[in-house]
Amino acid sequence: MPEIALKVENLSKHFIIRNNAFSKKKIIKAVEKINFEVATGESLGLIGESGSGKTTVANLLVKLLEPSEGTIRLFGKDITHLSEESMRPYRCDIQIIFQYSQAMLDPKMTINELLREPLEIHQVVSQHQIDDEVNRLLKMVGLSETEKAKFPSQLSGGQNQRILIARAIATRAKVIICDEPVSSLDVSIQGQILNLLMRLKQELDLTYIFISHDLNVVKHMCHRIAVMYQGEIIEIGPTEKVLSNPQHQYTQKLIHALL
Amino acid sequence: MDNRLLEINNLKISFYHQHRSIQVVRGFDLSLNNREIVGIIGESGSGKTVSATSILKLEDETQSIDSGTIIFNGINLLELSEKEYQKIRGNQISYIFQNASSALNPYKKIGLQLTEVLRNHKLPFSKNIVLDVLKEVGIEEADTSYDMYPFQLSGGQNQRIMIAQGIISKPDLLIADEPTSSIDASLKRTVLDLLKKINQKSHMAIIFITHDFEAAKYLCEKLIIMYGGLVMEEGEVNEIFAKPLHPYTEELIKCANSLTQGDLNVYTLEGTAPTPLQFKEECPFISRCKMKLPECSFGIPKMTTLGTRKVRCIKYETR
Ligand SMILES: Nc1ncnc2c1ncn2[C@@H]1O[C@H](COP(=O)(O)OP(=O)(O)OP(=O)(O)O)[C@@H](O)[C@H]1O
Ligand SMILES: Nc1ncnc2c1ncn2[C@@H]1O[C@H](COP(=O)(O)OP(=O)(O)OP(=O)(O)O)[C@@H](O)[C@H]1O
Ligand SMILES: [Mg+2]
Ligand SMILES: [Mg+2]
Repeated sequence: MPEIALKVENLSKHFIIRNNAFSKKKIIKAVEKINFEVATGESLGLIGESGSGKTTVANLLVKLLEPSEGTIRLFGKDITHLSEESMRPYRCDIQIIFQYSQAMLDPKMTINELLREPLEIHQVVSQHQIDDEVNRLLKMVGLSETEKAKFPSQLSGGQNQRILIARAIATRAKVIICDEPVSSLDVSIQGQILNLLMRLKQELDLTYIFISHDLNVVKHMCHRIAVMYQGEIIEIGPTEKVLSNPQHQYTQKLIHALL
Repeated sequence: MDNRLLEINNLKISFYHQHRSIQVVRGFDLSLNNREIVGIIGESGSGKTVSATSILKLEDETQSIDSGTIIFNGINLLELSEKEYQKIRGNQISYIFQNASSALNPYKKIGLQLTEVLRNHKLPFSKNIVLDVLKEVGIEEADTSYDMYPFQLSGGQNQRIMIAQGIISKPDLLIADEPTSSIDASLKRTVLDLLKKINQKSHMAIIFITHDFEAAKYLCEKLIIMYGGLVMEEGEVNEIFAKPLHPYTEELIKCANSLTQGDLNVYTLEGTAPTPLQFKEECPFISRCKMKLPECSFGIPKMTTLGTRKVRCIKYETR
């Protein structure tokens, strides 16, 4: 039995919004008591309607958000309430790749600086090895060293998406959450990125949580799928089984809506 | 020809970047009739967004239009003053942006942002009009969203707020830049059906920029394929998918089919597309083309017309 990389129990996130100082509070149950586990080397797909809570789950897992209740275990260690300080050793282990947009990379930093940053913050290698490490990362994501002096604005969307991937694997992360990593790319680059993620997974024995609304992409990448609906996981199981024999009405609607 | 809504000819666009001017769009042509829907598909970075935003002169002063004409309803837009332009933006032409950060004001509630569109264009406005549009784009809890800020909504919800922003003023021409990239299949269907409905009912023409072949087939009549700052091919959607003329189009369709068929290793194009800094006077697809000839490096190929279709490849040039 492979080790459990990530185990989530009863995880919830409620947002409280207030229209103005005098109106009643409204509670949005973005994520509601979800449970799942992912084994080392496995890929779990997370699909579901827009607004069903997928990105909120991703942000909870990498601790960009505090949960309202529940626990998150990373390789057995309860990280739910770790402080910024005590989380540091684990922060390297779990990383997130968002969909690339101009806001994702600091436009004033060169590609070289953008790749040095995570290496320096997490002290992945010693100071004099950093240059070599940057070159190694570039090679892993299929970019040439000549791109190092460039700024994000001088690279294409697909190349910048690779930089985001390189930054995520820079810390030697074992678990990577991908939130729509290919949805803004043309089909040829989309294929390149998917092949790259597959290759890295094998070479580095990575565990993925893969969020996408493109069922073909999820089918390609994931062993299992969890379907979210209004904050809850309504269905979870092997990819083939969920797609060929969906149990829940929403999953059926999603699969049959394919254009 | 009075059915013609928009005619763009030989558009070339540069950016001034780090003390020099770099041309990113080297040949963009498009003609659109009233209530027609045209799709633009192409390589990331090929100039789709830059070409489309130039119709509304939305870029800052680092951008310059080097040549070409943009005739909208008989007027050359490039000759208009900023004041005259403002009357056209949103009123007659509206633009749905690719990312929320460039279109939505983070400090204003959704309801107010949509109301402002109506107010700016001196159209009747009320909370109910806004709520109706929100429901049309599939925002179920419209009442709640009305009072929320963009950061409180999900990616796909914000994308639909932008669609609402684009259609609320009922323009003659809607430019939609990847409006369905962050939403699931069933919502995509809702949004595409809505665009179709408005197109038919309110005679709104649409320029639909996308990476999604299925969506383009579903919505568009005509298609433009771009690569390396150039339009490479143009024609009826069905004809292009049935028999692509340009080698790039053919390869792109192969890539799309590979994922759908469930290939273990997805078929992709080798190498990368040239960036504007690497542009040369040759076919930009040359380094990746399986059918390349020595002549492909003798200048940028010309657009050849073949019946109802157009293609930029020397294979089809008559000499
Ligand atoms: N900061 C916030 N404050 C209030 N509500 C929020 C906040 N962030 C998210 N929400 C709400 O939580 C719900 C889930 O949002 P989330 O972004 O997780 O959806 P998603 O499944 O990722 O959707 P999409 O596919 O559209 O990206 C939405 O209804 C959203 O409005
Ligand atoms: N403000 C700018 N300054 C300099 N170069 C720019 C600017 N905006 C865009 N470019 C460059 O112009 C080229 C065309 O960009 P554009 O955004 O039109 O591509 P696109 O076809 O829309 O790609 P995508 O599918 O990724 O959205 C790219 O090489 C881009 O780097
Ligand atoms: Mg999301
Ligand atoms: Mg674009």
